[in-house]
Parts: sequence; C-alpha cells; structure tokens
Amino acid sequence: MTALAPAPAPPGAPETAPARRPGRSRLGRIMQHGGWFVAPFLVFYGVFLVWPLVSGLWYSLNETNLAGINTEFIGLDNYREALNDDQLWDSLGNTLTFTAMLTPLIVAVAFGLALLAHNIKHGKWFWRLAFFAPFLLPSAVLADLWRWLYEPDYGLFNNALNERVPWLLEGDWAMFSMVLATLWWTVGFSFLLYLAALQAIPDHLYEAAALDGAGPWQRMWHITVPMVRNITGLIVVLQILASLQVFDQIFLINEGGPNNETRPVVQYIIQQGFTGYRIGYASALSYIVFVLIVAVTLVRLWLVRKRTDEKGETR
Amino acid sequence: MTHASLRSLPPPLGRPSRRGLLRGAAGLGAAVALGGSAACGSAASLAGGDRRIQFWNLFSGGDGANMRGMLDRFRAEFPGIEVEDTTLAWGDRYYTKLAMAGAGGRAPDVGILHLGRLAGFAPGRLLDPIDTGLLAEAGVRREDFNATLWDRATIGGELYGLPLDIHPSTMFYNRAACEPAGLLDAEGRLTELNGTEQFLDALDAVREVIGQSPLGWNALMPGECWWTFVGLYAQTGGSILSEDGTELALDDDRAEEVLAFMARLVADEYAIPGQDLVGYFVNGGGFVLFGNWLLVDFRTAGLDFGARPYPTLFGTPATQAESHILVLPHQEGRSGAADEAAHTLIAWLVRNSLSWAEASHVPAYLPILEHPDYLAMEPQSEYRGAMDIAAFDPPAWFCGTSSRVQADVGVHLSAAAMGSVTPAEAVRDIRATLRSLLDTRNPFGEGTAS
Amino acid sequence: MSERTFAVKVRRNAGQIVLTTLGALLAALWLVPFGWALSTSLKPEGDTQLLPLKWIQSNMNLDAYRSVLDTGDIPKWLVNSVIVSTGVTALTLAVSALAAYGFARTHFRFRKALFGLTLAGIMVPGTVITAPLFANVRTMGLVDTYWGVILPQVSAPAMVFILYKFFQGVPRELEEAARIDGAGRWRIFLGIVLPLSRPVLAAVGIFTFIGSWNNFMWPYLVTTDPDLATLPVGLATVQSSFGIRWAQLMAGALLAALPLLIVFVFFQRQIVRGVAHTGIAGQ
Repeated sequence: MTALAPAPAPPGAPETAPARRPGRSRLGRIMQHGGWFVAPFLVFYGVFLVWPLVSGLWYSLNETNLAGINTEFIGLDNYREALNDDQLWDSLGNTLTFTAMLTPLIVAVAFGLALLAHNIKHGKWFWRLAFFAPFLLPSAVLADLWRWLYEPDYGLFNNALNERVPWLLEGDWAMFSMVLATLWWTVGFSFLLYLAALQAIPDHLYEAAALDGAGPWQRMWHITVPMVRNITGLIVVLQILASLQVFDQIFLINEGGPNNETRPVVQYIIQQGFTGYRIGYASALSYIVFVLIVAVTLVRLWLVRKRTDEKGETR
Repeated sequence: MTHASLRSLPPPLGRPSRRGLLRGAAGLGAAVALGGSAACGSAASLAGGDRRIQFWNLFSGGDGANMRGMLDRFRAEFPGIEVEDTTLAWGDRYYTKLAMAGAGGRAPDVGILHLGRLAGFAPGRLLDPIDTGLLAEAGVRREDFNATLWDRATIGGELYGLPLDIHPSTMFYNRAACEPAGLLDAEGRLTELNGTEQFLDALDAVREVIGQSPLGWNALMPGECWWTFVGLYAQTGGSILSEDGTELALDDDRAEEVLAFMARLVADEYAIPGQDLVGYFVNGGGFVLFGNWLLVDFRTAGLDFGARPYPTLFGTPATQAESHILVLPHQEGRSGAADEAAHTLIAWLVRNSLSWAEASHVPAYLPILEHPDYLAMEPQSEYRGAMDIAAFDPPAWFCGTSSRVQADVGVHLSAAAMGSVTPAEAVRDIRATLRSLLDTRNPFGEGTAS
Repeated sequence: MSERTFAVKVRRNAGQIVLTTLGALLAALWLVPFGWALSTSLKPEGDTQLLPLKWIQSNMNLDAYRSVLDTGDIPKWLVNSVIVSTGVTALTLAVSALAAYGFARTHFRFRKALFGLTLAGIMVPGTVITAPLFANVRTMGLVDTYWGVILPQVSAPAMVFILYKFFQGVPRELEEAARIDGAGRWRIFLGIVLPLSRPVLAAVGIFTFIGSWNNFMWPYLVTTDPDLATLPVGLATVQSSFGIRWAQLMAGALLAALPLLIVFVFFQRQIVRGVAHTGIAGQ
C-alpha cells in the first residue's frame, strides 16, 4: 500500500453546524456526529499500531528484554551500538540488493505476461489462473516447493540442466535463487494490475493509431506504455515497500544462508529480539529501518508531486 | 529463530518399535523395584494439598509420544498427583514463553530447558532452585550423575536443572560401506580411528567402496558447524571461553587447525554441503556426522548401521553434547504439596528414563546408563561413552541450543568450512563476534543477583 | 468481404496462434513447480531421490497423502487457519467499513486530523514494528491465544482508504432521499450504503482473507502452543524436522495450497476486482 496525500474534502458537503445540546460533553458531541463510526477502528489502530510505534521508541531507549525484567534506561546506547553493527548494515544491504534485483524483474515480467494474456482472445480465465495462482500460496508452501526444485543432487533444476548449479550454496547464487522464487510467487499480483490497466485503455486509441499507420510496436510504445504509466509507478512502489520487508521466504528456504549472505534485515531484527531476547535493541533496529522506509516513501511522494506539477496535470 | 534453531531442534523422533517398548517396560519394572520404597515414601507425604502440576515441554514427534507414555505411567503410579502436560513449539518461541511465564511468576510447576541455555535463563530469577533434599528422598542424588553434567546445572551452589539425558554429536557409519573397506572389527563395530590422517584414510577407503562422497556433514548449516567445532576444539584440549564464561579463552592456532580440517572435508569433497543427510545415508552413504536422534530416521529406513561418538582427531577424546534438563520455572511462593509433587515427578522421570533412551538419547541417570536393558540397545549403547567425554556449550548467556552463538559464530565457522574465508580470517571473525557477545549485557540479567 | 479484411483476418489468426503458443509455453513453465510437486507427491517415498528423475512412473500412488492426513496435523492447522482468517476478515471488514463511512460521510470534530493520521499509518511497515508489538501483546497477556493472533492483524488503514474512496462515490442523493424518509445515519449505512458496496466489500474481504491466511511471521512469533498453529506455521515447523520425506512434504504443501486455489477458482472475478481496487488505492 502506498502513502497518500490526504484526499480533498468531499465536494458539496455543507458543514451543517451541529446543533448544540446543553449538558453534552465535547466527546459526546463528537460521538453523536459520527465518532461512533470511527471509534472501533481507532481503538485497533491505536492499540496495535500507534502504541507499538510509541512504546517501541521507549523500548529502544532501554535495555528491554523479552521477559520484561531487569529493564534499565540506557539512553541512546542501542542506537550507538546499531550504527557500529556490521550485521545490521550487511543485512540491510542484502535487503536492498534483493529489492533492486526483484523490482525491475517484476515490472518487466508482469507487463510482458499481461500483454500476452490481454492479447490472446481465448481462455482468459486460464491465463489469469496460471500466472496468478502462485500468489495464493502460503510462504511455507513456496519454500517447500522451491527448496525441492533447488536441491543440489535430486532437484529438478540441476537434473534438467545436467549441471550442479549451487542454487542455495553460494551467496550470489542464493540471492538470485531467492529473487527467482519470489518473482514466481508474487508476479501474479502485478500481472493482474497490469491486466486491469490494459483493459481500461479505450480501443479507439488503437484504432486511430492504426489508421495513422502505426505498427504494433509503435502502438505499444506510444499508447500502451504511457497509458499504464501510473500503474507502473504504483507497482514499483508497492514492490519496493514489500521487498524492503522481505522475510518469510528467505528465512524458510535457507534461513538467510549461506554465510548470512541472503539474510534480510527483518530477520536480523527478529534474531536480536527473539533469539537474543533483546527487544530493546531490536526496537532500535526497527526504528532505523522504519525511518529509511518512510524516507523512501516521502521521496517517492515528492517525485510524483514534482512530476505532476511540471506537467500541470492533476491526474 | 536462526538457521541453527530450526534445524538444531530437539529431535523429532519416530515411534519406538514395539519390541523397544516392551523392553522399556521391563526396565521400568526393574527401576520401580529398585527405588520403590523411596517413591512410596514421597507419595505418602503428599497426602494433602494441591497436587495438580503443570509440565511444559518442547517434545513433539516421537520424543513427545515417548514423554506422554512416561507421564501416563507416572499417573498410574501416583494417582494422587495430577499432571497436566503441555507440549509447546521448539526453539526460541519455547524459551520466550517460558521466560515470560517465569517473569510473571505464573509459571508451570515443571519445565524442560536445554542445559546450554541455563546460564542465560536467569537462574534464581526466572528459575527456582531444585530442593536436593526432596530429590534425595525420591532416590536421586548427585552421585547418580556424571559430575561434570550435574555441576554444569549447578549455579551459585544451587541445582537449577535435573539432567534427563544428553544428546551428543554422533558419527553414524554404514556397515555395508565400511565392511569392504576393512573398517569393522569382528563384532561389526567401527575400528578406532585416531587422528585426522587415519580418519581421512578411512574416508578415502569408503569412497572407493561406495563411489560417492564418503561423509554426510552439512557445512552449510551454522548450527551444525558449531556442534562440530565445539567437539573438535575440545579435542585439542582447549576451551572457547573461560570457565565462568566471561572471558575469551580461544587459542587461535588450535582453532585454525580445526577449521582447516573442516574446510578440507569440503574442499576435498569428502562431504558435499547442502545434502539432506537422511537422503544421503539412505542412498548408500558411508558416514554421517550429526546428533544422535537421526538414529530413528535411519532405523525407519531399515539401514544396517552403527553409531559412536566423534572419533578422536585432535588428541583428547571429546564429542559435543547438549542435555535436556528438568527445571522449576519461577513461581511466587513455590512450596507445599505441589512443589513436592513437582520434585516427585522430575525424580521419577530421570529414574525411569530407560524408554526415553529407546528413542536415541543417552540417559543422564547413571543407574539407567548401566542398566542391562540399556546396554542391550543397539546402537544406543555404542555411544553411551559420550557421557564421559561430552563437550558442552560454554556457560554464557548467548550459548545453547538455537542460541545467538550458534547463529553468529556458526556462520563464520560455516564460511571457513565452505572455503569462502581462510581459517585465520574466520578465527578473527569468531573472536570479534564472541567479543561483542561478551560485551553485551545478559538480557535477562544475572539471575541470582536480583 | 474484401480481400483486404480477409488478409487481416488471416494475419490476425496467425498472430493469435503465435501468441497462444507462447502463452501456453509460459503457462506451462509457470506451472512446473506445481507439476513437479504433484509428481513427487505421488511417488513412493523411496523413489523420490532416484536418478534419473522421472515425471511419471508406473508405481505412483496416494500413500504420501494418506500418511500426511493420518499422522499429520494438517486438519488441525486448517481449522486454526479458518478461525484466524475468518476472524481477521470479519473484524477488518466491520471496523474498516464503519471507519471509512465515518470519514467519508460524517462531520465530527477532528475528523480530518484523524483521517490524516489513519492515512499516515499506511506508511508503517507492519513487519518492522513486530518487536515492540510483541512486547505489548505480551503485556496484554494475549500470547498463545487466538485473540493474540487475530487482533493485531485487524488494524488495516489501507482497507479503510479503499472503502473510503468507494463510499465517496456513492451518490449523495440516495442518502438524502432516505434521510427525508426519516432514516437515521445507522439505517442509511446498513440499509443503503453497505448493500451498494457489496463488490468492494467482497474485494477487501477476499484480500484481507488471503493476507491473513498466508501470514507467517506474526502467528509464528505469537504462538507456542502447537494446537494454535495455523497452516503456514505448522508447515514451516514440521518441515524443520530432519530426514525430509519429500513425497510427504510435497503432498502436505499441495494440500495446504488447495483451499485458496479453490477459493480463487470460485471468486476469480472478485479477486481480480480486488486487485484493481488496490490499484485505485495506490493512486
């Protein structure tokens, strides 16, 4: 999900001044005028999102452990430790590598598959099922299937290739293998997004272009690609945000190995917090990553705004 | 939660064979006869009060079935004590839960812990000491255990864990592969292999016979590399940390020697990393280095194999081992009938651990270790000597099953074994990692101090 | 019919044949992991590691499925997953729809500020706050309970936003007319707005369900009691046992994949629409 500027207030909604009733508290008035609708959500939101964010900040300033005993205030020590923690930066580097490898692949493959499925007349449901089905798998199933495919001696891949490819045995290969498995697993979602976008392009654009003598490639470059640009932007953002949080499949396929060369930063945080009992330090790491992710999001927002400003479009 | 943790879990074991169960039952009879009076005494002293006890453990699979069977027999023998057992998931999540319960003082009466984890588990704060007087009443004394094992479970003069078993690193050997290589004695047991050269010669001979890599050992797994290193490094006579677990005691030359050997196993293709060890052994592999609990899978596969502690490659006999210990998680005001019942239960479990041994673990209670029925178990009794040469994790908070040390140091060991760094580089990394772990405050604090 | 249109038609057909062939090849490639899992799961356990590998052999059978269903806990995990995912979906739908309507159509004080706060929440990466969230859930005493698994998954600002967008598009005239007839806000919401929103509610519901069904990390961390394990957690912890039995592992994986695949076949339209809605939310 992506970050959003607050939407403009609904048009044509006259702010009817709430009639004051004596003896009603301010909160009561809020509740009467619609507060009850949002209250349940805000409770969940407050307890399971805002509170962890705030308390996480507090935990990160303490030597807090999983059992909640012997807590000690240590100020910024956790952050100081984190800045010198090679394991943090290595694992963050792995996460970034993973993101940088996967995102362009997802965009290209999803677009290609969607173009294909869109232009084949028959059996739409089949193409959707075939390319989207992997997205429905739990990560544990994905991990099982691909560990078996990658198995060095008896795996399908090495036997089909008749070669001992070190899929999960060497760092660079292992990262590539994770990207490949993830591509297979998640591309279906972006594929559907592209498919919906392609279907929304009015036919008359293509017809007009064809009359002007544009060939299929020209039509694709001059009509299709620009028309799906917004969706592409969306896919890139969703993909980046999802990839920065990658954990499940890497943890389940080979637990970040070999030599921690695929270990993502989320796994490192979990290891510190749960294997090492150090919730305080894990919270500090979380905050560092959180700030980085928010920064990415804000840069993206800023870029979008700049672009739309330059074009004078409101989209 | 780490690489190691998922893999180095307490063994999921298959069901014991029927014959084994019968043998176990026979042993049980003997054990009961042996200590019957003491047991009755404590049962009688439990005439009143709350005798419902909660028991948390992390045994699933065959281990779990075994434990449930033992508990059923306990219930039959002590109808006055109601045992409510809960099986929880292995690894980090189990320790987390047990620690949380102990911190809140609302813990179960009895739990299971890995010995290596004890130092980090705030004994005295998250764990209550065991009353050795009550144990003695139930017929369990220090003399009934290997002294090293018992003393490792003793902190600040108090016993915090009653050892149920040890589960050592084992070398499994395939008789069909070793026989033609001339490595078996008249009784079909592996001949002694001393020193790395003799060991590698044996591997070469087996390679000739089976036409594939002779050793199943997964250098890719940090946890498995850690076990191997703990065992082999102990064979050089060194220890990784000082005796109190606060100082680095690693000897660089010895560590490098061990790492060079581990790397050679991979470089010369004695062992192929990433192999599924059961698959390897089932497909005619020669040796497998792993924890004793693989025995169950191998037996299920119907293989003719033996198992013994690690061969002595560096002078001093030693093999890595962990131990399941029975602990009393911290309760506010632990006392009275329930407390006595808890002691009765843990004492009974170790005294009746013959059927526990059936599923491959080495019983910690020496009378069982010397029991004729245990000695008759093959290949279990073949590695019973592991008790005398067991090398445990250093006594520091970050050690033990699925701990930080397994993941963080293990990864450097694995890198060296895989040949991606030299042994010297790995030792430097290991030093740095241990240094930083030692510099990190024990998260749960020093238990006894509080 | 002119010759030219005929030629176009022929060329189009030829193009279709090429595209369909290409599509079929890619789809086949895409289905290889499933196919290989199926093939493996049907082999006797001893044959899964026989070289050369075979896709089909004469002695295939359902033994692996039988042993998985007999000895495994898959039915138990399935029940847990249904409980958790249904709970998460129902609560998310209820809570998000109410909030979205409140933000879209009512006028209480601080509404805009609270909506802004909600939108900001979309930026918070869930996995990153796991450690403090766990500590808080521990404080609440919810570790190892269904509630501990379910409730933290319910706070979904993105879903609020999707529904908010939709509710904004509901014609005001309908509500005005009902109001003139004397209907209160709640009756308008329940009687008019919700029925009109069925498609988007289905989309949000299905997506929430899929997300929760496949969630691994949170249920994994917050449950220790194997009786509470959901399907992903159960599968992941069982696979960690030594001596992988590939036939059974693949059989278990396919059985675990089946429920959602069936759901997809039946609700394909809604799911595709759900993706499109997510797209709207993203823009």
